[in-house]
Amino acid sequence: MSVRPDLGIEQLTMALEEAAERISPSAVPLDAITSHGRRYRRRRGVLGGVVVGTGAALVVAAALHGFGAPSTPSPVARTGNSTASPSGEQDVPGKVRLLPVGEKIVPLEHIVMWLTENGERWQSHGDPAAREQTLADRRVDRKTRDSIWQGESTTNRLYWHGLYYGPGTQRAAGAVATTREGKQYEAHLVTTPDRPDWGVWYADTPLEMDDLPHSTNKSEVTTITIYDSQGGILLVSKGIETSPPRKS
Amino acid sequence: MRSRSCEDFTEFAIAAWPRLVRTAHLLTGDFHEAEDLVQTTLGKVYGRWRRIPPGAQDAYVRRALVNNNISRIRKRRVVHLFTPFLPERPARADSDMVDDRAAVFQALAGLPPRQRAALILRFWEDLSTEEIGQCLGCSPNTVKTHLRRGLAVLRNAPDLTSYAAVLGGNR
Repeated sequence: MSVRPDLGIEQLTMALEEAAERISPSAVPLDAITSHGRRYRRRRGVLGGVVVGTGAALVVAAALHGFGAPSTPSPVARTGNSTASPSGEQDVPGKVRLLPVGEKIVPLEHIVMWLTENGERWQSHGDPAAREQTLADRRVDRKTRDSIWQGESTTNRLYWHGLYYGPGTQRAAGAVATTREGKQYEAHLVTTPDRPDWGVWYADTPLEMDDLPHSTNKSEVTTITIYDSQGGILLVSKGIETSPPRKS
Repeated sequence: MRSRSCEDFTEFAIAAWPRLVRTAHLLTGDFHEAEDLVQTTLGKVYGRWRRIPPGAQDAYVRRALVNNNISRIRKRRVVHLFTPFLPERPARADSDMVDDRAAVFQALAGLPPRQRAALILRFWEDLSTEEIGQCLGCSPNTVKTHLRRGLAVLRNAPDLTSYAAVLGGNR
């Protein structure tokens, strides 16, 4: 490690100013801020009296959830008796797309992604600097089926995506992303035509903030499950540690 | 919220947003997370706007921003990697500008949250140690300790020292 004891306050100030001035904030999301503020005020106003009632309300909400009108995209309703096609293939959740290297797609508003020879690159919110994750990542062990993944927020959704990989030539045929709350969302798979041993999955979930002040998101994806065409599980990848849902 | 008060807040939010996002970006190291943090913070501030004394809004928001960020780091146990720094960066398509910026963020990322906040408030927000102490809820002497230790770490950070060399040599 090279040590530079002459790194002084002036350099640090300049470095911070340089870094900060190059950031281009987007427009102020006033509507989101004010609605967030109203929710926050309402919660603070009612928290004192309804702690006991909240548990019951959550139970009712959970019971009704499956019967309500679906949002877009809706959580997956997976049942044990999925239908089989004449070829024996199961009806697995999620969609698969074969995508040539370099062809760009827009999986979610503000996000552009494309495949490279050994991974994915993406840009978000018009950021000119594309980011990438590749099979060269030191977390990737090609001998086991697993996924490296991450999430980022857009204006009103959370975008989750990752590389899946593993030994063998069994193609992934579907995927489901499960959130911290236990809701399941169909994920999309993107692969190159000639590489069945790896691909990219992505899913988006709503931005549902938990109670302030900690503001964790209830829709954090904590598990991704990828299926083969027979409905069998190819891999299950979890976040390293998951905090339980907060109770108000 | 009364309309006059609402207008005041709107005016304040529009004026404060760019600087708050920049500060939040330095605190979090990630653009989108920074905007989320500022949005959340301003949402809370909106909910209490009428109770904040006129003239104290800047300090109040700054303090809320720093504390929300520390809470966020403390609470979040799922590793998200909401970060522009990838473990492997084989493709060097990004410009030097992005590399320079990344060097600063990478150096700051190695610091504990309060040390990082102290450095950013001192050297980017240009606050005094007393003001930083009020923001972080600690004494000026503790702030000085944060600053001294934070600077010591940065002096040993290879990414930032190379950046500093560029600054020192060419500008």
